[in-house]
Amino acid sequence: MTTVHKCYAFSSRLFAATLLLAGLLCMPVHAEDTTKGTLASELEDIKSQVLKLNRDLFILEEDLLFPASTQIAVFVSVDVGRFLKLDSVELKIDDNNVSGFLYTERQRKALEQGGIQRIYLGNIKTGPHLLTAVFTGNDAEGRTVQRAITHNFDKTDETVMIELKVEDSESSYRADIKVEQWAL
Amino acid sequence: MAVIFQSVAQRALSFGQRLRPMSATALLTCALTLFAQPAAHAAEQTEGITAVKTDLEDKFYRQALYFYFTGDYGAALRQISLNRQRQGINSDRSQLFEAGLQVAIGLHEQATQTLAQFEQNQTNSNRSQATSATSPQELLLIALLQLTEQQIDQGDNVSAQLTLGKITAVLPEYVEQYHILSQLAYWPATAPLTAQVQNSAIEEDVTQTNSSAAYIALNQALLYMEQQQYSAAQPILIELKNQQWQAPEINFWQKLFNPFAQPDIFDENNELTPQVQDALLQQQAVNDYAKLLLAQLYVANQQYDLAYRELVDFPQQSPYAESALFLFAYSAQQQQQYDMSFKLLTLLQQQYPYSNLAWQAALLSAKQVSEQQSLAQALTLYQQAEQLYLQKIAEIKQFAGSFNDSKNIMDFATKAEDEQHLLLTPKSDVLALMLTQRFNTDAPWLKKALQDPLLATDYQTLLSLELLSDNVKTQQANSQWLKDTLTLNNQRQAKVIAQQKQLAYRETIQSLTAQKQRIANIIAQAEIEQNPQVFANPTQQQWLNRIDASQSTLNKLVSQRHIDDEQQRLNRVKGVLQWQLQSTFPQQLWQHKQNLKQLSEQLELLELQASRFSDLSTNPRLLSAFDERQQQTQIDINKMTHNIEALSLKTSREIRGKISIFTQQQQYTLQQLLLTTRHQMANVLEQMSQAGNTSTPAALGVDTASQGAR
Repeated sequence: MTTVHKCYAFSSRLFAATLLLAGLLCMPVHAEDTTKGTLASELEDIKSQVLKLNRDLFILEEDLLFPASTQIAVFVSVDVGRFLKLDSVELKIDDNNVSGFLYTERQRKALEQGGIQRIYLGNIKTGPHLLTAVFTGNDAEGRTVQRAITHNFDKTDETVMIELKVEDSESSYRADIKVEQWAL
Repeated sequence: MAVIFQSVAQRALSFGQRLRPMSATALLTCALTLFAQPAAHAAEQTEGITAVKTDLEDKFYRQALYFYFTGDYGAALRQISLNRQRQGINSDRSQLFEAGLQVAIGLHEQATQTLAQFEQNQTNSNRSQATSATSPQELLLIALLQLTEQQIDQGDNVSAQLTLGKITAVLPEYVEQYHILSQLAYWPATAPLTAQVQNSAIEEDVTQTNSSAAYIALNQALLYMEQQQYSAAQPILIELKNQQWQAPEINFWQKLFNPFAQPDIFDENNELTPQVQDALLQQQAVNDYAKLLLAQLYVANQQYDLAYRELVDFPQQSPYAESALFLFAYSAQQQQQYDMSFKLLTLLQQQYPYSNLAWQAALLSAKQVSEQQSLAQALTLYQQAEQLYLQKIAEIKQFAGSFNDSKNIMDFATKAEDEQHLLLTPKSDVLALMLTQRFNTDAPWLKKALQDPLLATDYQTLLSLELLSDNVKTQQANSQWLKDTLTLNNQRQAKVIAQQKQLAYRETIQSLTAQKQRIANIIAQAEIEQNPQVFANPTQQQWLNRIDASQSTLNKLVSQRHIDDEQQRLNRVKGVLQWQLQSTFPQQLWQHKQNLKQLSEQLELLELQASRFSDLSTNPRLLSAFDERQQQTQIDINKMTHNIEALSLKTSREIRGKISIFTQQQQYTLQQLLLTTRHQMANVLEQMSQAGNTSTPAALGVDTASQGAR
């Protein structure tokens, strides 16, 4: 009798264990550990500090290396991008190659989704300058095409920010490059 | 638990969808034109300069957007922060975007603050009642739901409940998500569901059957089972086990706040994307789990035949195979299919040697043999079970010892890339704040211990700290580079100042100014006197000198001889030269005045430049300000490194504590099983002894049969 009782109890325990185990697989995690929240909070705090540090260093670097009186920034944006799948961009200032960028699929899509990329940040003297940009990419048929644009501008004590916009032209079924100098 | 919501959907806001179909002819024409004249295009100048006022908020916001779309969330967040700090840009969309990024990289407290700020702004301004995909209320709802999800994921149910409490209204398409999050946050109590469900025009389009609904139903069935309301649970489980997955739609903002709820169903090769495959696997897991629960329900109702039938085709690769196998064996045993039961229990022991169920299976199979076959065989199996438990106890002790002795608990790790995260965050990410690895191990005991989500989270915390530590090291290198740059600049400044002192450029400028003034006086005098000789060129000057010399010679000879003739000739020459000079005098005067003017301008510029240079070179604050800032960042880095080390140590201690408890629990379980085994062995020996006394095998058979019947 004792054996039978044990057997029954044993089987019940096994079933209970199974149910408990299965239940655990589905049950939400309970915040039993009081230190858990602290750890997560501390981790979050450090993460936040790292982010702040990164920002501070970024600003310091820019301020030190690219003061506003000599700074020039060039941006690239794409409006739709149906007629020119951007592959690369080359930049010249006063006939000096200053920047080149080869796009990955993801970066190209980021531009097509509305992102603006700062492609160049540098220093130039005050006075008149000439910016030349050459865009290479593929057209809707997959053939390689190039677009180039030049832009004359004057560098003053203020930062110069120039956006090069690849815009689809519905009328001509081609992409045009437009220049917008940001008014700060 | 985040896995629950990794539902897969077609991306709602794909820029590509904005593209309208274009006629093939037009495309061909365009392509041919472009292809035929590449050189011409290369040289082309398409000056299209826009002169309108720049919308700087939009421009800087889109810079952050670029980083986001390239997967660099840290840089996107930094850009938003820079926009606010430098440009004073703090628009609504910028705030929501920031909150979304903060949620995505796990900055929950900051996200909560940002959302509170956003909510405050919304309250202060005229609240929009629009329910479009981008209405502020909807965005806020998405943000709060995703925040809740992450808080639940971290086991912080109290915060999750608070976050849910902030939701006052829910749009129909988010009801299920709200429902399941409430269930999880308040488990095992009933969720209050205080938010009001709003009506929406798109209500009819909402997919009724999706994975969220499945989880709600599954949790509900589990609750019913816990309350022993089996009849209520059964129909739910039957429906769930046959349910099929359907892709819900996910819009841009949902994608932003939950980067994993994003994918298109098919990739470029027209194959199911990994995310969709994952979603299908999840659906399979729901089906399997429903089957398992249903089988348990049948077992609880002693409907072993139904349980057996339910589990007979249970997938072997299912994550619940272990439990299902045990339950299947148990049902078979209860169905008196002893051969099948014995084989299944043996299989369970072979496949899951570290499972509690497998340990129990060893005992159960021995028990079965003792009841159905011979006591001698049962004794052998009990002895084998005893050996198994002793071996496992030795193993767990060894593991506990080696774990305690290890200096770095990460030595047990075999890191595996998290594929989902890998899709989002590039390896070259300069500001990697999102973990792309998942802690894994080959140590079987640790693997078992990691089934505890809190321990697994602790290990993930350690991995996150490693990532942050690497990040800080990168920042340290950057800071050091800036320091070197500053040192070089300081040296250069000192060198330039030294050169400046040697050059005495101020005196030079004064001397030049004096010379200019002298020339100005000469020109002015020449103009007053109308004296063209001042502007004589070198040849003319030579002639003038010769004339003067000749005149002087004639003056000496005038008393000695008659010189009228020579004097006349000289006067003629002088007259011609004078005429020449006089004829070019106005031009020469104008030219010299112009040159003088230019010289004056140059000198003014030079003076300005000298003054600017003097200011720069004598301003000690210029570089020292940078020095101070660099030193401050260095202090921050040191502090952060210290904090990371301290937190790593703390987390390690937490992990060691949890592992210690785990090993003790395992030992306790094994000891209990060992004790039960020995009790059972004693029983068997007792029965064998009794059987020996009676010496009649038939009596033993009757005893066994009677036990079986009982």
